[in-house]
Amino acid sequence: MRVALVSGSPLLAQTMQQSVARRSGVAFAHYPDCGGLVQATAGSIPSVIVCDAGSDAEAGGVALQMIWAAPHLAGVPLVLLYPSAAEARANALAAAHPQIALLLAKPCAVDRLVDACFRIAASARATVVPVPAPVDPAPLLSAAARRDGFREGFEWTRMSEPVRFEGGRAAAFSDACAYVLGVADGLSRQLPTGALTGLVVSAGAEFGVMFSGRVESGEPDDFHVLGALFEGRVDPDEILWASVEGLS
Amino acid sequence: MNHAALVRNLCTLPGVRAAAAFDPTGACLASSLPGGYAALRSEPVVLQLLSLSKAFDGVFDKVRFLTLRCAEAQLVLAAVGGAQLVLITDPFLTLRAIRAGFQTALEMQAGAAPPTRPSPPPARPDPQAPPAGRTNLGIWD
Repeated sequence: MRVALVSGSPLLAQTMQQSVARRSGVAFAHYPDCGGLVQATAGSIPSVIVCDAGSDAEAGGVALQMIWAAPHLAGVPLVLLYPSAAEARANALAAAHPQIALLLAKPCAVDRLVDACFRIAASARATVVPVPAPVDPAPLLSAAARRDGFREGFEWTRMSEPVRFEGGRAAAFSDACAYVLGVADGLSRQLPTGALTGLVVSAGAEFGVMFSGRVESGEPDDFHVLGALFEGRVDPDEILWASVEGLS
Repeated sequence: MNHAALVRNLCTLPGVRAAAAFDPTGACLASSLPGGYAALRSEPVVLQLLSLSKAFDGVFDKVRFLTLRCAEAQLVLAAVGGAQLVLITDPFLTLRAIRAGFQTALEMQAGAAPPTRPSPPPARPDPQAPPAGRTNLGIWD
């Protein structure tokens, strides 16, 4: 999960950073204003945005308009923190903008705020950025291997290069992914789905993820697949996020 | 299980574009597939799709969800009551949202909730939020 905070208060940013740091699988970023958020998140969309509206709630959400106008942030749930004196204005804003998922009056316990972010990100249609092509598989795989709950991983290419980073069951998972890749390629020619960018196989207590991407070699079949098995308590979308971040 | 109702309920969920239910032989039990997905009415294509979960038999005990993430859409396979459900969703729908959507659709079918499109944001304001002025650890203003 990625939490983005927009606030002019360094103290809030620091306290929230400390609260987030006690949890696993959460990335936190602080932006002093909405403009900074909109610019900085063009390539990495947050799961939830916390807006410390301050007097903006009283002014009618002028700065918030920048978030609502940013196409890449459409649908990202927003938690609006407002001064208790501006409750009526905050309610009006929330009524007019369904992107506001939660209103919290200040002052508010930061741990409660972070808990609310978890709840909202889990229930909302949080966004995931597909793995872009071309990709360099090495950082992607090492990013996955560093994740909490990681069990095994593999890298495989259609160019018959040796499989690396292999584990016991990863070999079977690798074979299955190779089959899926072939079928998916065929399906994508018959269905308007576009190219395959990832696969999540969930079996309850554990899951497997696969990322795919073409490596820039000029060979159309130079197709890399990398995948990993994780414990089920980890969020597959967090793994996708972390791996995408590992590319940058 | 009323597969037609389940398919109908799944299609009311945010982010779900279409749904269909197939039996293990690939026969269509119910469908709301739009024209662009006409290939999913072809048995060979359906059987290929249904074979994807089986490909992982040697890896997992029982696959519950299989999600193919593609650039323009997401294909989700889920085994429900002996049938294979196929969902076509927006490309960025998360697995958690998909799981929650299935739960909602199954509850709708059981009569636990009316078959209406759920609104995306949770309740506001937070009823558990501390009253203004109350002091908490980690407080900020």
